[in-house]
Amino acid sequence: MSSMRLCSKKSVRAFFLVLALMTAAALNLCSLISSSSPETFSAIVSPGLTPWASIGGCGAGGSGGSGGAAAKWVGKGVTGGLIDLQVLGNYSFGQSYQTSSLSTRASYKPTYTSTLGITIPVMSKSGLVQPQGQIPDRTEVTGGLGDITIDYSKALGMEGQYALNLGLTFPSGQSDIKRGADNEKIYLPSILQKGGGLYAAAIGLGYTKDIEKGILLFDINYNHPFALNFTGKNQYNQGNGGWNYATDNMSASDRNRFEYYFKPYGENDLGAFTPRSISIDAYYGNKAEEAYIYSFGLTFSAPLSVAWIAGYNPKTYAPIQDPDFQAWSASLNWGMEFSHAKYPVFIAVALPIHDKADGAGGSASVLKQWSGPDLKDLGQAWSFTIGIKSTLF
Amino acid sequence: MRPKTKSVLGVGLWGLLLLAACDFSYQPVSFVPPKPPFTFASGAAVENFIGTRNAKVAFTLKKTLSVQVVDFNDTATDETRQAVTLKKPAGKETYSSDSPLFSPDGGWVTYFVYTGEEDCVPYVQQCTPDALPIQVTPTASPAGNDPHWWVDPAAPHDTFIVYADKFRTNLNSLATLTGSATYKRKITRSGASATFGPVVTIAPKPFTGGISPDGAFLCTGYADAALWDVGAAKLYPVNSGKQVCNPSICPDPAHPDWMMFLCFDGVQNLDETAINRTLGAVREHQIIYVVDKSNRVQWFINKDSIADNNTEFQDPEWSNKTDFLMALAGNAGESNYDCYIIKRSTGDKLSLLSSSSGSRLNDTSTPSLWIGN
Repeated sequence: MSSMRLCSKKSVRAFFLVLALMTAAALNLCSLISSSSPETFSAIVSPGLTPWASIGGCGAGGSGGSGGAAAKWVGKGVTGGLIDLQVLGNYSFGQSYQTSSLSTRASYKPTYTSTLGITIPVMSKSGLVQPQGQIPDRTEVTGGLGDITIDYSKALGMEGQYALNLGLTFPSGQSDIKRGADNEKIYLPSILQKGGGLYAAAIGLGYTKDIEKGILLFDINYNHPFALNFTGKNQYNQGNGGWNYATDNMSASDRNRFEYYFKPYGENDLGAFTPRSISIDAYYGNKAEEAYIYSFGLTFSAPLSVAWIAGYNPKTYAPIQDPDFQAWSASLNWGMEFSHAKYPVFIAVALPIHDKADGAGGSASVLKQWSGPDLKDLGQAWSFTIGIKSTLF
Repeated sequence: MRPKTKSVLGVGLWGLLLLAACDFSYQPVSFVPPKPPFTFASGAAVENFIGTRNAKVAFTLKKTLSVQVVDFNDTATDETRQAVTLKKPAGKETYSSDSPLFSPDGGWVTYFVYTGEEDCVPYVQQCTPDALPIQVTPTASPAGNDPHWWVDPAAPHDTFIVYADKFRTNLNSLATLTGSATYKRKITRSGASATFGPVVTIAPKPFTGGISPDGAFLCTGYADAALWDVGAAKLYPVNSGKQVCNPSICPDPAHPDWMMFLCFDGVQNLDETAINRTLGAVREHQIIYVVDKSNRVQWFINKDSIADNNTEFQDPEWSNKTDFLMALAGNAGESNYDCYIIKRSTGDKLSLLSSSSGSRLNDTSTPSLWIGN
């Protein structure tokens, strides 16, 4: 067998391997992990909030603002044990909300160059809610378990400088929290929900380059929410108190909202639509000092279509375009790892930036919604992260 | 970079770009709820008419052959209120459902299914979408029709299902009819489940109109109307020689020997002295009568007194409250009937529901009304 044909067969196998991985699972966009030796750098965990998924607006039941920006742990980290443990606490606030979260990630290296991990976030959120324009706003609080993610990463290249990251998010966080007096309860906006009510698959590619006394990291990620229903029926359309819409005479697209097993797009049972998204980030880490490593970075993300939010009234199915839709969001990040052989500590600050959240005006075109940065909100929202790592067994 | 790594990364990068560029073109659109098959009276209108919103209606549909239940005291808005479709008995999905009646607490219905007059089977079922029907009759002898609820006044916790084993007694004289009977079975409910006690014969003839609250009388129609004194085993013919439809016994303990029915055409064979008038020849299904065991008319309502374009009544049924009954009104030969609550003391009516295209009430929709406290 010629070497040419051998290479072709390997390429074909590689193609199907990557294709199978992409379709099988994906990493939550903000939870990318790449394994590394102590000489290279570990990266990232966010508290499980993705800015473009945390959307909602005043007047339509939202509380405004976006969720916390992602935090990328740039540093040596710690490895050597059977299980690597990472705990990240995050506090984020904006003009009308604040969130606190604690994410615990445990990872295991089945091979020298691959890592399998699980991230379990718990959170507390509070924010202003205004069900209707003429009703005074009020503060609501939620808290508990968020969406759990599992991830897999594979280091590639002679020095492990490339990373292929896959992951899957499960809708373990409650996404239908209601508040209010009996018979007047409303659904809280998505920014106050603990989860999105959807699965999400993500795939990412990362590149790390060592430079003199520093390191550069680049990532590009694609996030694809989708819906799975093991009963085949929209849970809110059934039973006493359900909408009980008859689907017999509905169009196929409408019927899919109430009867489905799988939807290849991120529309949950309340009608909230989380679009696919792309994100990229670039970081510079300075490792001139042995005891600490500081980093600067920029993240940028954009949804590929316009988001929708669920109606606030539990008695009807009435999703609408997100009146506070953000066509893009970014963050400026600074972090510092206090290196330690066993318990390194990481702190970070992020400044979210986003375009004017003024809705899509009924248009389905996301490109038409691009606008400049929302300068009124710039500097009004911040995110702080502190974390610690350890390795066990 | 090794060729393998290059190819994997290259494919991965292309895969990313390909996924991002793919035409996953789904975009939500505003949802317009389907027009509900029925337009119900508002909860406020029901409350104004009968004095409470705690009311339920059951009926059947020719389209689905199933029992539908609507609760005016549920959490739905008047605009979104819809009927709950009860599940059909397994293996009988093509059978017609008939004459659903509510339990005293309003949480269950009893009804029967059939494809012909000789294969009727009665069931009970909790009024929830997931509840399964439970057969009333023993497996070995499943035949039964026109089941009714009855609470023994001597033992108020004992509830029974009373049913006949013959659907119609067309052109047979009740006085000489043999080979059929009326039965009762004690029912014990737990959640959505129920069990039954032994079958007890309470009358040697099939009475399809139910039993009075004190258990003293049964009534029937199809074709001969009559009341039966259970204790004395005595038959009281009503409207002799004239066929009637939809027998229904009075729920008032003060009048256990009253029954309601729908007339056929012609001059009725009734004593009209109590109502102080003579109706003379009537149209088929024009009059709903209430008659006692002495064949005296105690009350009636004329279809012509209801200001609508329909020509006949169908399927009248007494509710659990004496002053209210349900009846359909439509035009014979068509399949679009409206449903009314009629107040006996005033003759007023409330249009309870009207049907739209695709889910019409028909002349066998047999509606019934339950009024809570």
